Amino acid sequence: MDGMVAMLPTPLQNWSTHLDFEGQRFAERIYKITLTISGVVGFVVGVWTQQLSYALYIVMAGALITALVILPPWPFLRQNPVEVSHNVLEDFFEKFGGYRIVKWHTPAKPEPMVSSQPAAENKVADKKAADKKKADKKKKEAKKSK
Amino acid sequence: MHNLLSRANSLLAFTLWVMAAVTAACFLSTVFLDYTVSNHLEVNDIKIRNVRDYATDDKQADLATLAFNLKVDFSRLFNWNVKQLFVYLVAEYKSAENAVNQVVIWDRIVERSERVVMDEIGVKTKYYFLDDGAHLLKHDNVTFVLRYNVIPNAGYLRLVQSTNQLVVPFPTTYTTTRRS
Repeated sequence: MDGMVAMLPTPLQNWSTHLDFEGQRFAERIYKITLTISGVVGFVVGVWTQQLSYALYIVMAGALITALVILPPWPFLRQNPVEVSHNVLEDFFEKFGGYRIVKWHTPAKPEPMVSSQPAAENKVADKKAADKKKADKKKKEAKKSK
Repeated sequence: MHNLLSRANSLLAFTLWVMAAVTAACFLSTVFLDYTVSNHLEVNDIKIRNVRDYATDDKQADLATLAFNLKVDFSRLFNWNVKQLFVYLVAEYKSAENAVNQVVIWDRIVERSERVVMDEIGVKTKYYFLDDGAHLLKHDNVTFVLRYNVIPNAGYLRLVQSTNQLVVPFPTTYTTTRRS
């Protein structure tokens, strides 16, 4: 792809054909719908005229029309631009590495799990603390007796 | 889908899927149709000669020459899934040497066009009607069968036999003149 881009005249090389994510989703939906419709219309025309070539010409024409709609980076496909945070390190990566790490959608932080049996757990903890106290006491007494 | 080439790739792949689906639908819409036709066949002027069969072994074999009139209307066979027909005429008979003998004596390609009705008189055979032995003489029932391949745009090669056959008794003497 880069080799092909290098063959274009210089002002075209910097032209970006990127779409934002919503635009990509919309473009995919457009081509699926239009090509399916052109397939159905092509089949009907093929049965009507009894020519398979007409059916396939219609599908190819539908593909050409769809290409005009979704291939160029139209403004209606760029209406939800990706939010880019400017961070010195990320700017450095973009400049010298050629790519940028983009935060598009931060997943919500999962809530901390609340224990379903708090009383039991505390009992165990209390028991452990009590046991520990007893052990410490015994140790102290042993020390004292010595 | 992030750049032009990626979008073009997705679009092309889906276009090819749709074209394959349309072709499959074309096949499905024509696969259960009836492709039989009847024919009107007359065979005349049969001559049998006893010749040396150099191609196989050096025995004497019967060689038959004949001309036929054939009238068939193929126009109802052609639909959007038929490219052409390959029509051929077979002579089938039983002999002492083989239980079944089938000799193709003529064939023709009929393309999808305006000229699909055949009405010809005095058609000469294209291929030699050479017997495997000398059993054609006095043969009571040599059957002439018309068969054809329906060559589709999408699908399998279909072989159909025409509805009528012609049973012909063969001459009882050899022809000794050179003219066919």
